[in-house]
Amino acid sequence: MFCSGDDTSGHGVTGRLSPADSDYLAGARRRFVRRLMRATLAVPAALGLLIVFPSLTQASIGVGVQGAPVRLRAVAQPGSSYALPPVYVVNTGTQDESISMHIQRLSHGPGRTVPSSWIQFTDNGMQLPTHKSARIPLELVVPADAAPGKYLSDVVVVGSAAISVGKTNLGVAAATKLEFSVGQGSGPRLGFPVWILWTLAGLLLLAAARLAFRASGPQVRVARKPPSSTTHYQGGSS
Amino acid sequence: MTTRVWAVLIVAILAIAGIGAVNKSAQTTTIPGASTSATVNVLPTTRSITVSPGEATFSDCHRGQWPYHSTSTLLGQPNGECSVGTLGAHGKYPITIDNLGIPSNIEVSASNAVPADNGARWQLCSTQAHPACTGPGGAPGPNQYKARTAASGELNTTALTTDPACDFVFDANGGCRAARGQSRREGIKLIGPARFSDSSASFTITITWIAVAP
Repeated sequence: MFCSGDDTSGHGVTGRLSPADSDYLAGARRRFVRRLMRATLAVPAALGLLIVFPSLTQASIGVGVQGAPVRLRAVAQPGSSYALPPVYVVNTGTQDESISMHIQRLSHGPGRTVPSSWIQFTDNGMQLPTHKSARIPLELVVPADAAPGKYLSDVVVVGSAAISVGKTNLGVAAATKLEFSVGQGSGPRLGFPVWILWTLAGLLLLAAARLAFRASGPQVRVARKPPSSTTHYQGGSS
Repeated sequence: MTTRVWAVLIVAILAIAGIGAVNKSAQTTTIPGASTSATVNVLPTTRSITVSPGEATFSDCHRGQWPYHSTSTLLGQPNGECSVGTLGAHGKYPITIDNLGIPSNIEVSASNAVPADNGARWQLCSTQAHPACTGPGGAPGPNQYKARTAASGELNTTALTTDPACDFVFDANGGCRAARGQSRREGIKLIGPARFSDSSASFTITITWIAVAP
């Protein structure tokens, strides 16, 4: 077998190959043909997949929120503010989204509906890149005239992106429960264990009783006469 | 002398209280035996939903009366009808809704239609919910429209309202419970107003799918 080509200096090169070189070249040609056939088949196959599964190429909007309810462990007191656990949100779509949150009663069950003005959001309307997550802090502000009892509503996370069908904007939202209780308005607590409060109260009562006793009660004065070293007895004799 | 005694007594009580508090906190963190512990933080389980609109626009329009009879892509009046996708037994339903997270109820709502000049809106009405459609036979009245989602094989169509309502596509038994990973393809049908006062060439509505706790 002959082969021809150009060397690096630009001169033509012609020569006869050994059988081993010839086999090597034939194998290389076969490998090239196989790769070419694979590439030729792969492109239509990929196109076919995209036709059968168009969602592979579709833009999508998506949002996720933590499944666990947002709960305040302590009993909220009227006139106080509380930091609620941050809410986990994630962009499950294929585009960057604007994430907004609001309070809405969607869940069924006992409990008063949480007025939306009680919950304040930080970073509401934040931009969240695709497949990224964030934790958004919430604050519960209980007005002084809040009715006591259990409260239930939902934290609704809305994802918005520039996706529309004709003149229809498509939106997604996910909600998780918001639960807390409001106690009777008995003033702020100091956070001490109950037994300490009882002890202090008893102590104060004791001190007050002692003061009252000292101020109004009868006083008994006890004086001790210092003992003298000699004792004189005077006796008479008749 | 007595004041000092009382001060000592109060300090002692507070000290005992402090010791009690420390002991209490120590009880919750002490690990018995010669062992060690490590905590791993995990991603929270999520309730999530994804909507893929597909290659679709409002089309397949019909009804209306001359000179406002609908064309294939333009809504006419009175009560012209358009759809996203072609609805019916062998129709095409281009919008895909995926419940990616934990099992949830899938609900859907729509907004009023906003004209391009932000003028008089079309109010979303319903035959079963408030506000009611004021046209004859439950059709939308002036500056009203109604819409519903639809899917192949769906037993109960979902009339859209401004408040989220069960999207029956997800549960053949009449609910809207979606399992993890469950997806459905849907279309939208819209019936326009008997007549509309705003002269804008386009109106925009927003349809929102929401995943809520069952």
